[in-house]
Amino acid sequence: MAKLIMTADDSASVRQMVSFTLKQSGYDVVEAVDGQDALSKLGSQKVDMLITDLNMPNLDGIGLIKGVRAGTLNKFIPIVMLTTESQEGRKQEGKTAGATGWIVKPFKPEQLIAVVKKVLG
Amino acid sequence: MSDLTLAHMLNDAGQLTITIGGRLAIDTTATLKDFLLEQLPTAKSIRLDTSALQEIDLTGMQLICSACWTTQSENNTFSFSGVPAPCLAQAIDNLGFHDHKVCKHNADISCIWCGGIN
Amino acid sequence: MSSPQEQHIAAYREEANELLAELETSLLELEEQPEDNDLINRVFRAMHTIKGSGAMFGFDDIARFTHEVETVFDQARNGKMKVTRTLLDLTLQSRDQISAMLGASAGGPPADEARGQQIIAGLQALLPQVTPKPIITETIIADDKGATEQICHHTFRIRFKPEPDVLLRGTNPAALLNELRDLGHCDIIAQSENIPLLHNLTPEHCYLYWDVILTTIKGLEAVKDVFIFVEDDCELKIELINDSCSLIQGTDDTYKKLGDILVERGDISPVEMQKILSMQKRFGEILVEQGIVPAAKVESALKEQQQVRQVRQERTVTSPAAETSLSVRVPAERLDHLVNLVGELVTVQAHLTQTADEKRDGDLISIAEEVERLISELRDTTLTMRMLPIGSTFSKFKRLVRDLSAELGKEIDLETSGADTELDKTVIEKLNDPLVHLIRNSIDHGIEMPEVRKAAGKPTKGIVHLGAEHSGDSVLVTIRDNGAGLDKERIRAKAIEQGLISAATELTDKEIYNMIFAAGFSTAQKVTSVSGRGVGMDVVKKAIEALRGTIDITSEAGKGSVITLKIPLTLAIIETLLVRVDTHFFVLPLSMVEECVELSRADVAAAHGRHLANVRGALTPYLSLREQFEINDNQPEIEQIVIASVAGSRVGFVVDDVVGEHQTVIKTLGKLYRDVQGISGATILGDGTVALILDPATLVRSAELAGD
Repeated sequence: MAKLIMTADDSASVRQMVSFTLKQSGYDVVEAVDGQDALSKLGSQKVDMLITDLNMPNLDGIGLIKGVRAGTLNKFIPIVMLTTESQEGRKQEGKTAGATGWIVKPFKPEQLIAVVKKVLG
Repeated sequence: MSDLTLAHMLNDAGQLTITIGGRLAIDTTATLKDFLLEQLPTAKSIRLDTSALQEIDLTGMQLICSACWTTQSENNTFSFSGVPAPCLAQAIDNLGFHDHKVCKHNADISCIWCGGIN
Repeated sequence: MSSPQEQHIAAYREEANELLAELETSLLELEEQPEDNDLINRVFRAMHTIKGSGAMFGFDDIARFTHEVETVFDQARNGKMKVTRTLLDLTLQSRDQISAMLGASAGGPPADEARGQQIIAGLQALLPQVTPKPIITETIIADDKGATEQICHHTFRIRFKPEPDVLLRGTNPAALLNELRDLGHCDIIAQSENIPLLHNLTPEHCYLYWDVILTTIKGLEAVKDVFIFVEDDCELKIELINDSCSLIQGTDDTYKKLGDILVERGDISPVEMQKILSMQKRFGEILVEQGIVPAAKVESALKEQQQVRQVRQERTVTSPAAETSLSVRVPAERLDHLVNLVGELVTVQAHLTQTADEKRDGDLISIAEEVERLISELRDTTLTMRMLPIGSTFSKFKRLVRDLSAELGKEIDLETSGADTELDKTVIEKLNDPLVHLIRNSIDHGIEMPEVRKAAGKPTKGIVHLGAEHSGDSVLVTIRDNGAGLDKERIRAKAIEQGLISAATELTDKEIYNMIFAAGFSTAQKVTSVSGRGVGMDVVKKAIEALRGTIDITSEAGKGSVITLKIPLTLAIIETLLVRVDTHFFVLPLSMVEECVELSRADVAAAHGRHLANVRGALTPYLSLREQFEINDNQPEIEQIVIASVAGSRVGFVVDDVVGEHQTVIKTLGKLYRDVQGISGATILGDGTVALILDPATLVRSAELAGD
């Protein structure tokens, strides 16, 4: 069965790009528009991985990561955060909150897939 | 993705056979641990049947290893029964257990995986 | 179809525009509440997304520029800097600059780079201690750094000892081991002595660690990259123990025996190794030896295991999981096309219904009715798809009010309500200019200078309120100000001066107010750059009428004025009243029609040739479509007057016959007929006949002109 990956990002263009790239590589994708949306979807749907932006309205990436790790259904999934070079501190914060890895924006589709393969095994 | 299934049978000779199936991974390992803690004191010898196991991860492997050592340390025996699941053999390979010949906790006995299934 | 990359870029542009609008709104709100951290965060987030996504889709200039702005704003976000007027001014200018850059990328005029640098310089001047950091387009997946001209085989000894809680962060050590295997020849040995007794075991902790001997043509960096996400969460030792290109450790590519290495590292004692070597037997053999299971059974089990393994590997089930998505972005043209098709469908359906009725075939009629029901639902759904909240337009005006009031030295707040009221996309676009005019007018003519207000006992700060609300099939947009109100006497005097009315004309308040919509009318005492250029209100009125809307104004001296625009929800399909004159059909917008009465020859005679009808005692002016369109044949004995409400007064339109209500799909007339007065479009009836859509307002105006 194809692995299901959630992409949480308030930027529709990034979501579209991530989603398109993942589907091209044979993954199934579920999208979330912000942390709150992601968390509520993850409460009822088992996914294999989460790719999340850090800066999002309602609930930011850090809050989302903490929320997922404190939940049950998707407690142990790999979580990859999208960061920018100016967010070194946020990256550390993300790791502390329970992120598995990160991708530095901007990134190319191949880089995204490489990271997904890396954490999904 | 299936959940973990558990069954056990204690025969007159005090041999406990535990049959596990489905998925033994980070989100289900705790269930098996609690079950083992509860059952181990009831038997002199434990046999673990993994033939119905579909998936096992690092935590599952650690748990079996721990159960084996715990049993040994109480002078009881721990062994596999039935056909080992393919996923178990795979995990032994993937995680690098295939060269385990002696128990890492007690060099006098052979490892549960040792030279084991592969 | 454009390539995925182009589609991503288009999506980015659209999104960036939305973000810029959001940025502007937030900045303006921030001006009012400079301490609001939520707003500061919103501003930051909008810029951050513009930057981050911009770099992803090749908008490097935008990313670079936004980065500079963001860096400065970040200081405000971290509380290291106060949100000042200057910061907001510069950030607003940055917003415009980004917008220009975005426009340039879509084929617009190039953005003024010097201007951009000026803004950045201005921003950086706010915090001289900040040295700008260049954008690093660093990638985390290192390129093949081992690919030097000569292929070297490096042998690494790796110890990978994760912290116990690494699994709780979603790390899968097995995946990392597999990644090492992908790099080259790999021997992996799990070390399990740290696994505790059962009652001390935390199932989710990782107790294992690994020793790995890896021979690869890749370099140290590639090996390190495997562990990039966990390097802080583990004890990691990577040693180069052999390199075929240098002569550090022997010349052959074979490395030491595993046992020797383990002994060398002190992992096992030499005695232990001997023991292991002596036990080189398979699990199955041990089982057999110890008499637990007969040899044949083990053999069969192994075969079965092999087979099962094979079978399971072949069975790769793939069933895509259900995908959920919140919304789909569709190009506007496609929606327009859909609306057109639905329009055609409505026309065909009318034909079908008519034919079914004529044939008096019960089955056909019931099918036609079913089709009618479905199509009307389809029509409603399609039209709502084009609906957008009017709020996006509102937010633009905040900026307008801010800039204009500053320019005029007035203190004005823009308040809005009903921003989520939905209107057809095209209508919203066409409303923009009229609203700009009206708001300018309120700011310039309506709201007084602060000292004047103070003298009048009003708060110095004036308020312009922009509101929207639904009302039946229309939306009411109101522009209300608490300014001086319209000066009736001055309007009247001006109208007389400009020859619009004679000095003797008696006018109601409403009629006086409506004078301001006359072409060329302006009462502003001096011409400002904001308004008072003599064009404006008449243009506004025309634009609103082009939307088949109406404009209404009320005012109270010293208290302010309210301008109300009544706009139909959609432009594509309207409810109309179908009327006939001889063999010609016309439709009138149903929303304007008030009632229908008969007009006999006797009535006409009684009015002595004047076009006035006595409707329940009230004299109502009318105009005859026959005369208007010069249709001379077959005038019936008794005609009908359709009484409509035009610009606040009742006016009759004389027709031969009122056919009934009609759902009209509007077809625009060709260029050739664009300037024809009194007709706003055409529609096709069920039987294929063309009916003209009347524009009552212009009809009345041209009749008035003709009458004068």
